[in-house]
Amino acid sequence: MRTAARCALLCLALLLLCADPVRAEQDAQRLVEALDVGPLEHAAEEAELDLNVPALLRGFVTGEIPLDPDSLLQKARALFLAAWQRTLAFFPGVMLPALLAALTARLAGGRGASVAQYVCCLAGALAEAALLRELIESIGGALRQTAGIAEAVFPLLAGLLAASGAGTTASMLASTAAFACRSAVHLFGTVGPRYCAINAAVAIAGSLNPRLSLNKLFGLLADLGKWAAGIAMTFLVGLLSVQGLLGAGYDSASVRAARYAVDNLLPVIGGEVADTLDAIISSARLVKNAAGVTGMALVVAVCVRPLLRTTAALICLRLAAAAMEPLGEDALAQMTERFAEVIRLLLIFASACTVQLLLLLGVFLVVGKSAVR
Amino acid sequence: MTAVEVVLICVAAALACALLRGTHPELATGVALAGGIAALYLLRTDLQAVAELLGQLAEEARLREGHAALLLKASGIALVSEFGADLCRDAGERALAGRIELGTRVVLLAMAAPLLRELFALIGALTA
Repeated sequence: MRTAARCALLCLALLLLCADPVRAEQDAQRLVEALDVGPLEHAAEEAELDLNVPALLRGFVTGEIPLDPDSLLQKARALFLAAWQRTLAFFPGVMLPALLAALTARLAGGRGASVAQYVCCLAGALAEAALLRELIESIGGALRQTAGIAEAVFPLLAGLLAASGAGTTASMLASTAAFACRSAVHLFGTVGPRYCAINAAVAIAGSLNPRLSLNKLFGLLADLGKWAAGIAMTFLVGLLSVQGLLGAGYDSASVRAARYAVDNLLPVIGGEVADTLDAIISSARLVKNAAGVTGMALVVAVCVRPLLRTTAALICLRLAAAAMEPLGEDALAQMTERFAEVIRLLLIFASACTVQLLLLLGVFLVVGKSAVR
Repeated sequence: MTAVEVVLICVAAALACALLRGTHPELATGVALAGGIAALYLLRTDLQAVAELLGQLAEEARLREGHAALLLKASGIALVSEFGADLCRDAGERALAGRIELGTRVVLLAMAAPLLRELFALIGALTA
């Protein structure tokens, strides 16, 4: 009888040891080491990110990643300045045709001058279209890379979600997230830029031919683009949220049932075993959240440069349009302003896709909470 | 000083033309032409300075090879054609002035053709 009591006390001590937070953290670290982050590392390498993914993941698990807001702001400022300087190189190319057109109009002022102004307008359109092409290529590349990262991190998150007691949610979300990710990247990374190019063509046509009034058409196309981005985003996020909520209900019920069974059917140590179950689930959740945050950090790292570059181009073109107005070059100023609008639309598409991917990763972080007491 | 010289030459040419128009209208046209050429000759240094400045700007603008030269050429052609058309009008040859303008437009549009083709190709590539 005494031996049995000693055994029971030993088991109890072991279980309490298992439930120790330090032990849980060690379990989480072991889980991190056992994780196959190869695809994620490969995706980060393809995106030319100078980041050690396993170290980043371990850092997020242990909380040793210094997220100092000041240093982050300084880095963002340095990145924006670099993007601004790169974009500013296009400024003289956009301004020179306007300057020449204004000069010709002042010096000559006849019908020949109007054709020379037309040639200048063409050169300006070419310079602005070249800038747009560069931005589209940069954004398209970044979005494809982020899709690669997201597709590498989704299976990892689904596995960890299942390990944290949310198997139903994991199976529901994995396929939906992959579908949403591919749809978002195709919609905002392939169709969106083409739509922007069509808008740019309308802007050029309207500015080159003063008799052709395309203001309403341009406005309609711009508005349609914005509405489409909003609707697509709402639909994809709504789909994921509903799936997450549905799965959470099943998972919560099954985990609670298992905990209730362990707690009540195992005599004496049932409560401790149920607590250990919670500790194990918490470790898996810790690693899952760290993996999700790592994915988010990689997505942001890939997208931040093209987004800042696009923002800088938008400001640069607005400045150019403002500088052209006093020169009296209304056609060129209007075209530049419309190109700025097209770039704004491109920025909306790129931001929508990035936010969409971040929300997809965020859904994985949010779900599975109800599985733990 | 150049501006004063240009003004003096042009005013003198205008006075001479006014005097000659009644008796020798054919000479009046020649005087107007000579006055205009002299004025342009005096302005050549300033025009060169402007062209150099625009060339420098074009280099900084990193426009595609040939585009900046094309723009400068288009502006120059517009200036010269305006000068020629004004002279023809002064000589009472409005039809000839119209032909000069038409010729200039055709030449400029031909010059713009490669730009237009390049623009179409760029937009086509973006939308494809």
